[in-house]
Amino acid sequence: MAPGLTVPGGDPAVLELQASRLKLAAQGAAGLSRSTSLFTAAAQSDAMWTGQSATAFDAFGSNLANGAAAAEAPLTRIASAVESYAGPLRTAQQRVAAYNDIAAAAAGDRSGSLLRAAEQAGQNAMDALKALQQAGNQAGAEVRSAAAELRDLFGSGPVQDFIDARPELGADLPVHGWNPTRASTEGDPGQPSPG
Amino acid sequence: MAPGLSFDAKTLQAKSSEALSLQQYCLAVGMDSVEALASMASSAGHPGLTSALTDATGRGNKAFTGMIAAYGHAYQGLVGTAQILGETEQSNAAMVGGASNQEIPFLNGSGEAWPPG
Repeated sequence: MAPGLTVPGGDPAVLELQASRLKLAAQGAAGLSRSTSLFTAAAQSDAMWTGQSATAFDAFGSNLANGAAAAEAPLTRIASAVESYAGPLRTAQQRVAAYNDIAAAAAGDRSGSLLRAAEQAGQNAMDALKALQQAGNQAGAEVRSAAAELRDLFGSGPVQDFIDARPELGADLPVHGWNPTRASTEGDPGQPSPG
Repeated sequence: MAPGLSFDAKTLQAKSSEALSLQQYCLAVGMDSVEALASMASSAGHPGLTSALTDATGRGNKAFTGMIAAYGHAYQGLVGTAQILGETEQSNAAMVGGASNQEIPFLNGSGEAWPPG
């Protein structure tokens, strides 16, 4: 039986596709922030709304806009980190597969002419696996750092006060089968079809 | 705008629908973000990266959950305020020499003071 290396798991094409999607979502968060700022200002000026209640609304809307804006950078960082990992993953998968192929061929070659090529392919594969491990570690650290920023998007302000007053919003919702409308306890517009 | 009142109830009511649109916008951004993060977590292959992405998925989930609810809160606050104002307008119109130009508290849909605290 020919010696072989385990092809590293993961799907670089999916990672690149989803990283692009996440970057677009990050841009969407920035757009949401701009729209929220405009809306907050217009709600007061168009309705000629002044006084303490208008001031409170302005503070809430501004805090909301700032929070949406704050989501852009960490989401973009995560997407970039994953993109940077997809390349080494693809390379490692290709080189390990190439080594396995040539090693299998060399094992059946009594002349030994493929031995040198198999050794070289094996070295290339090992180098790629080492680079992959390093890339994964770096990407993981970057993702953790960026994800920490998602925990505190609103800082101290009325939006965080609102969230803190509702423990159900801090519940760890299941990722798969996530139903965002469950999260909206007020003004629930209904569930739009995803995608 | 009713004479003597500090804001226009009808315009405020109309503005509330924009808050609802922003909530939908936030919902779409949140779903895209969380689904992308979850998909990347299941496709990474590297244990450390998978763990970090799973953590990021949870944090993103919570962040957008709160944000979506906050947009709903803004919507309800505008609706509630416009409703209270409308009732006050009618009340003022029925009064002879009644008090006007009063500060109407910004209320949510349950009639609670807004924002909390």
